[in-house]
Amino acid sequence: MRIHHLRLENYRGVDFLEIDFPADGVTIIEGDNEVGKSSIPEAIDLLLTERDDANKRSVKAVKPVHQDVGTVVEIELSSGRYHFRYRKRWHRERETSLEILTPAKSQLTGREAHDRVRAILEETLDEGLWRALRLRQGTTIEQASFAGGSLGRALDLAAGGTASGGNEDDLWGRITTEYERYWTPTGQMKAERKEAATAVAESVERVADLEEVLRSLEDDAKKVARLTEHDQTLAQKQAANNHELAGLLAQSDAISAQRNEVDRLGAQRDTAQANLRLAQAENERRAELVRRLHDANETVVSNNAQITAAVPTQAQAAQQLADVERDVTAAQATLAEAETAHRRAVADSDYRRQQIETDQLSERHQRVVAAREDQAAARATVETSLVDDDLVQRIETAHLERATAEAAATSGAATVDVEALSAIQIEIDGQPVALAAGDQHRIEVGGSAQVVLPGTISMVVKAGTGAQDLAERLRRAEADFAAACEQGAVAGLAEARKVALARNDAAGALVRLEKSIAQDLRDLTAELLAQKVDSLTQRVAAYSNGRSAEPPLPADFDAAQALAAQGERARQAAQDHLDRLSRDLTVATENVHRVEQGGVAARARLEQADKAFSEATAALEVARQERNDDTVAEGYMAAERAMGACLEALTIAETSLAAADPGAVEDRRSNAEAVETRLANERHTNETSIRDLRARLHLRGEEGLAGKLDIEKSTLLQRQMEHEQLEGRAVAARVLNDTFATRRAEAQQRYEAPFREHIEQLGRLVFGPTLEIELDADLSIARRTLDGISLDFDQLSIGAQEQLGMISRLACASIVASEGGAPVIFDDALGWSDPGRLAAMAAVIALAGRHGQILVLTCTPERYSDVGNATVIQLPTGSIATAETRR
Amino acid sequence: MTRHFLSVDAQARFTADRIEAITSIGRLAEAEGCSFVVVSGDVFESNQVERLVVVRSLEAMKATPDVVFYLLPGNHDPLDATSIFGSKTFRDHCPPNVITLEGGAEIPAADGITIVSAPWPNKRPLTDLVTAAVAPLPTDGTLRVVVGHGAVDTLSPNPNDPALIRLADVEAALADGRIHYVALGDRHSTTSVGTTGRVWYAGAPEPTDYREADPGHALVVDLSHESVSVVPHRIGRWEFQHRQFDLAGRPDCDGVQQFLEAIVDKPRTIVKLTLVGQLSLADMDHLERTLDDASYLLGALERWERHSELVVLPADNEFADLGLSGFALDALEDLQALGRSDNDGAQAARDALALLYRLAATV
Repeated sequence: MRIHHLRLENYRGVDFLEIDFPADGVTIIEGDNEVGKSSIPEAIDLLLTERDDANKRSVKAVKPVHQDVGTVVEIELSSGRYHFRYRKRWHRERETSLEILTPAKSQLTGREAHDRVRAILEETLDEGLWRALRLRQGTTIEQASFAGGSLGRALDLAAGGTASGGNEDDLWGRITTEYERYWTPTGQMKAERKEAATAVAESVERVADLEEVLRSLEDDAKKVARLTEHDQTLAQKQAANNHELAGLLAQSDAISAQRNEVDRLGAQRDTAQANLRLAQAENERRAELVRRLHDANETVVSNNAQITAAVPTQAQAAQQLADVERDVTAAQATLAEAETAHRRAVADSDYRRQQIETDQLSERHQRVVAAREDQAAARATVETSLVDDDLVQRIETAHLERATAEAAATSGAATVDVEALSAIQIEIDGQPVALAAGDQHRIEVGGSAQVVLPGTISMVVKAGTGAQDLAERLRRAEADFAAACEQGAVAGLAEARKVALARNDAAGALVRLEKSIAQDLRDLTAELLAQKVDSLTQRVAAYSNGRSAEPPLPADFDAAQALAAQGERARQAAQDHLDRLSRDLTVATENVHRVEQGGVAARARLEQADKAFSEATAALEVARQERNDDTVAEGYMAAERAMGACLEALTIAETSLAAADPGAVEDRRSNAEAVETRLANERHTNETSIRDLRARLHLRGEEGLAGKLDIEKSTLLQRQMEHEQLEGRAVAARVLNDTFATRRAEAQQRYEAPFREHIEQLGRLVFGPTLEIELDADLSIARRTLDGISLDFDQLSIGAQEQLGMISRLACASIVASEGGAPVIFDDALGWSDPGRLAAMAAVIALAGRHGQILVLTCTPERYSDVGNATVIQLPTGSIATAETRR
Repeated sequence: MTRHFLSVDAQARFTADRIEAITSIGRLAEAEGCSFVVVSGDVFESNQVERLVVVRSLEAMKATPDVVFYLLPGNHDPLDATSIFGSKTFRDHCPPNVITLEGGAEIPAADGITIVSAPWPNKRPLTDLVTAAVAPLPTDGTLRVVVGHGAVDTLSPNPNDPALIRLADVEAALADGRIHYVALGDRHSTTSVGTTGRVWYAGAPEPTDYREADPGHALVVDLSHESVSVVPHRIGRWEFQHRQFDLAGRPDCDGVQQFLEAIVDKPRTIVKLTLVGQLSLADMDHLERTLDDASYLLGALERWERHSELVVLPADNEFADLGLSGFALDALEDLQALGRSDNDGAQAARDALALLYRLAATV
């Protein structure tokens, strides 16, 4: 669309305004505030959309205040292949007129004209785009809204795709609306569908419940039939059982009669048994009396025999006692002899031992005496010796010092070596020395030495002071040695050593002797030892003198000891023999005593037996007088016979009773009675069950369950169909929605790239060569990247937002310009830009202006002063104006 | 008797007409001078029917007090512990001219005529009840009507059912002159059984289902030892019709329309349509409207069948007319390709196309 000419009359504050627009390029409309700049786009919209008779607030609002005049808007524009002039007058003398210039000239008025323009615009103008390309005063930072798809459509077309129009967008809206009827934004089932499914499930459950109830009723009916049948079976059983019970009761009566007979016979038997017991008792008593008499007699006889038999036994016992007593006396004598012999043997043994002891003690005593004498000699040696070990040590030391000093004196002295050249006699220190020819002689000079060649010379040789000191040491050493020897009264070292050795030997003998004495004395003194020897010697002599010659003394101690042991054994044997005989004696004594006592007891028993015999004889006599023995025996036998008869009768009766098997009859009868009770109970239970079931069935039968089930099944079918249809629609809606959504996204991706590139191309003029942008799904700018720094659109400065908003519109406009497009309108924009950016934006606007119509409305013309090739229209401040055009 | 396909008012009409059929039978008996009416079982749909059904039915029979109705318990309403004939509602509302046939001794029903009945004691009897009831009857000159229920062996598809009525036995008894007419129930279609002309199923007096061959009658029987005449009288007012149509285009749709328009008593006609074939969206749209219109008039129109074999596939030009372009055109072509394929999603794609058509056509 291109706007060529505009004319306003009585539009808001504008009385009259007429503008010619160049078809392409930038048109800057300058004017102060409130001269009607913003009215220009508004008036164009009003003309294109509102009928002349519209009564809307937006129409009323443009009427000048306090003036009763008609508002006129007239424009000349081209859109697609159409070029026309269009005019409307509102409020007064309303009119609409249209003059189409191309492609075919025609003129229309009124409603017809309005509809025609709508049709033309519908065909040729993207109204969404027309609005999107506008940047309005006061909303400078808003991004172009391409959400309606206008830009997308235009871009799609520009990118070579097939055009899709408003139809498609509407359709897409309907599809999403349809989709949203069944699906939530997250693709879940909507409540309506869940409810439908739930309703089906509920119906299914209710149908199942009702069917279950009906089935249970049917089961109950079957149960009633079964129970009824069972009851009949029970009744038959009951009859059969009653019959059997009657028979058993008859049998039971017969058995009772038999049992009575058995009881009677049993009583008879009891009586017979009592009689028998009495007769038997009497019989036994009589036998007892007879036996007792017999026994008494026996006792008397046996006692007499015992007494007679005991007499030799007594004599024998007495004899035995006497024998034992004699043996005892003999044994006692033997023992005494043995003891005497034993004591003598022991004494002999002691004697021989004391003899030995006496010898030993006397020997010890003699050794002690000898040792005492040796001790005295040794002590004398020690006490007289003057040389002890210390003195020896001193003499040795002095001897060594002397020898050392001698050696030192000899070596330290001066030497004179004399060699005889011919035999010569010389004197040395007055001593003549003969020397043969060739002899050599050395003279040691201690202090001084005088060598005389007799007759010739006398020569004194003197040693130095060192030699004199050595000589002095030697003299002192000799003196010490002499003193030590004198103290020990010895001649020299050898003697001193000998004397000291003798002394030490004597001292050792002293110790040895002391020990020997102690050994021999032990705990005694020498005197006590001597006394002991004396007393022992006397005692031995006394025993020897006092002892009889016979038997002779044993030869030695060992023989004596052997004899003593032998005596002891003989004594012990005699003692043992005596002990045994003593025990025999006790036994024999007791035996005699016992035999005597037996005799006394036997006599006492005999007395008793005699008495018992007399009593038994008397008792039997009394009894026989009352009833004799035969009578008693006969009564007993009669009672036995009566008892036998009774038992026989009883056995026959009992056998008969047992044959009737009363236990079995009784068991069967009680069983039959139990069966009767059981059957009665069972029938009662059965009848109760039947009654209860019938009552329940009648009650439930009134509920009309079949009808309810029928209705419920119908409801279920209905709900299932509705649910299926609903699900089918839901699936169809989803498939449709998904297919469209996929294709739509693809299309958007297709035209997004060229749009972005175009924005970047224009934007780089303002922001520099590193500018990159990202677009949202609705083609608005999401992010800007500059020098590698990315910022969301919202984070950008207001100026940058405004600039990008303008650039995106310009980019869009120039892309779609070739397909017709629409004018870009900026109303008082760029209020937030610095001068540098303003200049750059001016270049952008100028560049975009080559491919489209751009209308810039501004009250600050200097903002756009850098836009080259712009047509500037200045709106006058007055109310009636024809805008001046200046190029 | 509730039918899911019936609307609320149609259901009410149907229920009322079923009761009305009883009244009609009474009136017919009066008009024809019948001695009595026998109902051969399944008087009620179940022993558990609603009380109102029992009350209304008995009230309908009470309307003709001189006509005696003999009611036989059948397999639907057997004489077990749940029997509706023993229910309090039935006993409380049973008029003097209604008698339940409970078997046992034959009942003198009119001058020289007795009724021999073979009621069902439960839902699954194990014997031929009719033969059992007939067996002890003597040939003594009594004119006997046997009232029985169940399938006859010559007509039954299940020869192993022990309860089947053995037609040979029945016909032998007829030949012996021990019995003279056998009124059977169970089949909903009016049927003469065998060759004697004395054994009949009267059929349902009011149709209840599509499968019934010739329902809706009451039989008027003129009976003597020597002769019998049986005349069916139309009682039922409803009709069940099941039709299948092969659809390939508009003319076939028109055929459906003509069939529906030709139905005379539309409010009492229940139609089930099985539709097979393939239609364009526009034709389907047209058909839907036709069926919608018919459903307003008919007692019921069952048009939904599970696994319907009617495929709706839009003709290519149908969408061309919509003039879609851009991404919408691409999406349309995707759906058309899928819809024409044998893929799993083909049906869903066709449904989606139909939806698209609807949405786009109203833009």
